Amino acid sequence: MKRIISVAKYDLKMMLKTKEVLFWNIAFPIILMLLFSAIFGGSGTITIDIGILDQDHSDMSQLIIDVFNQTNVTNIVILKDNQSLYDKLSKHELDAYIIIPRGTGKNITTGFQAELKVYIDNSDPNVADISTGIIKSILDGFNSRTRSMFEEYIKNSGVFNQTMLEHMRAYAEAIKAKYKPVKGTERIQYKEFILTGIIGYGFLFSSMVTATASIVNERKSGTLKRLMLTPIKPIEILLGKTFGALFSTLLYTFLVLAIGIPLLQPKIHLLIPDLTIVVILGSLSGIVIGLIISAIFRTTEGASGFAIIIGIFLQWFIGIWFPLEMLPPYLRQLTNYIPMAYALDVVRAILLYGDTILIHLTETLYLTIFVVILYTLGSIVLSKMLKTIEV
Amino acid sequence: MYAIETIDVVKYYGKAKVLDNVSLKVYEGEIYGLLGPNGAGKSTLIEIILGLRSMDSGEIKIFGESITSRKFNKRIIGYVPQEHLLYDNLTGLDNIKYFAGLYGVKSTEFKKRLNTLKEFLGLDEELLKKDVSKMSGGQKRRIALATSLISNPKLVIMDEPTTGLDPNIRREFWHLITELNDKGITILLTTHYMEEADELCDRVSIINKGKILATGTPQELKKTYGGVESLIIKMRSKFIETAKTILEPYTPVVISEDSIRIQGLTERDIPEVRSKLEGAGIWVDGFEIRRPSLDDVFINLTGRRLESE
Repeated sequence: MKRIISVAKYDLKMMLKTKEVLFWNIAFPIILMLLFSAIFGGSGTITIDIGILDQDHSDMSQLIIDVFNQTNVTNIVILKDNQSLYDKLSKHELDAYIIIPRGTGKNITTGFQAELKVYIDNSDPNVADISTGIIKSILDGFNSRTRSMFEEYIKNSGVFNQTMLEHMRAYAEAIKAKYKPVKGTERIQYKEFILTGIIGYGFLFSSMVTATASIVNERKSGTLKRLMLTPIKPIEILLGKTFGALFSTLLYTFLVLAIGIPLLQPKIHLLIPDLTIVVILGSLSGIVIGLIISAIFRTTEGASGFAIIIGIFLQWFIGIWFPLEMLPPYLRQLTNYIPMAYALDVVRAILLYGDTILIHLTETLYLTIFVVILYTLGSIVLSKMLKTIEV
Repeated sequence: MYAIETIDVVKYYGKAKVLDNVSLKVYEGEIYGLLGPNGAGKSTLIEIILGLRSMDSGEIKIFGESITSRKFNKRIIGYVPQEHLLYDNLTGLDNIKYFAGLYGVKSTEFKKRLNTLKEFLGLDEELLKKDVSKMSGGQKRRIALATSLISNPKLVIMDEPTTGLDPNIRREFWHLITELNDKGITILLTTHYMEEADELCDRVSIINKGKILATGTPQELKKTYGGVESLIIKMRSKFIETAKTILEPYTPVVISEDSIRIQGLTERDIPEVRSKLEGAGIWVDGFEIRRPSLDDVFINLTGRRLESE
């Protein structure tokens, strides 16, 4: 055990003393996180996303939809049915939801008041206030226009006098809305998405690439030869290298949180024990791939280069920079086979929704099985490589 | 019991036979030198002894235990490689601590051994705190030696330990090797420096093209293979050709623009040679008696010089 600790300790120490490694493995991803958060997480022109479920399917309900569509502060999404409304509501995809109930058109045209149901996503109180205000003003505009039309009609009919008109104006409101705030888990903002996503960057670079580099650099510099002359066993070297890369990933993760939380002020749940377990599993899945790469390639340049290319490629498929839902279906399928994608998914669920690891037992189990199988395989291949190392 | 015993070791690289039935016996407590040019097979043999390379046939025993045996204890061997093979971005002390950890040296024992090494190798605090990347060649070599000695080995194998060091530091290093041997440690070293082998080694094996050509003490080798003493005559370069003609009966060889060598002549022959040259008006700057060296041994065994390689 002492030998494993020695390898891990000095691997970590060497990493922390190498400026290039510190920059690319820690500073660079943090800079990217802040940059992406600034670019995509800031506030520009305000538009709110409104989902409309038309249960009436009348000319009048279409007129209401058109009115909402005509403003430049709303993006309208037509919802097909209650289920799609519920799905979007539960995922907090939109800012507000309007249901136009059956009979709305008939009510308005026959002089009765129609009532719309408006659900406001309350995840972000500021956005909720803005959404409520915008919907109210659009509906006020609609009511005002229908009132004018009604007034015009009455004036032309010559039946009512001015006093009666004043009274009717006070009551005439074609559409009334019933507002209901939607409570529940909060909607994710990009800064929260990227803060959690950048933890996944560690699975690729602090784990996978570091693990590859720690073996191939020793092979290149000849120090691996020195190691093999000591009583250390190949499996102890592997375990030491694994722990070194693992500690560096844990260090990276907590550094990202320590810098990201005060700077971005995200709303996250710090369930440290659960987070640590998943980060360890995610990191191990990266490390084991890195170790196998270092065993497969004959040249150090080949191994390092391949690990970096794999890291660059995988970052688009594990959900670091954007939700995997944005990928086309055929590429989405690919993510099902990448263990780090599962790990990052669980990391997000823990940090953003406060889920415990028990809620994600299936993903955790999958990761554990992946790590155990590949680590065993990798250990056999690497031990063989270390035993037969010829310089 | 031998510290090292290699029996008919054969190694091929592809079709090339780089070690051809190499058998040698290193006694416990001696400094044993493997002397040969680059590519002779010295480093390959050492790497096989250390277990870093496989051999195609043969057997190797270290203190009576086969290196392929499960009982074989690597802790008894220290290795000083040709390149320093240290972790450049760690300090000297970190490197020593790291290897101590790998050899399983306990922390209380480590402190004692480190103090001994500090005194023995002249490692001061400043050097120990320095990153290896910032050290000179000699400093790196001392740290490398410390990492090899921290496990208290009974046998130290050194591969070209002084290559690349300047002459003064090389001499310091020789002193360290001798002191190490005085502490009872057996040393096997490879070198292509004749002087180093002559100065340090109790016994030497001459290796060339994967074959051991001769083994013995430097004196034995010189006596057996070194040939006879030579008389070196120094004079101004303008006299060289005339002197060569006058001394023709002794079969002189011009070895530089101002020196002539005559093999087989001794101190007793100097007056006669002087009188012949001075009779022809040639002023002799000096005479020197050159005894056979390991260089001569190598030339006589292989037909070529070693240090020019």
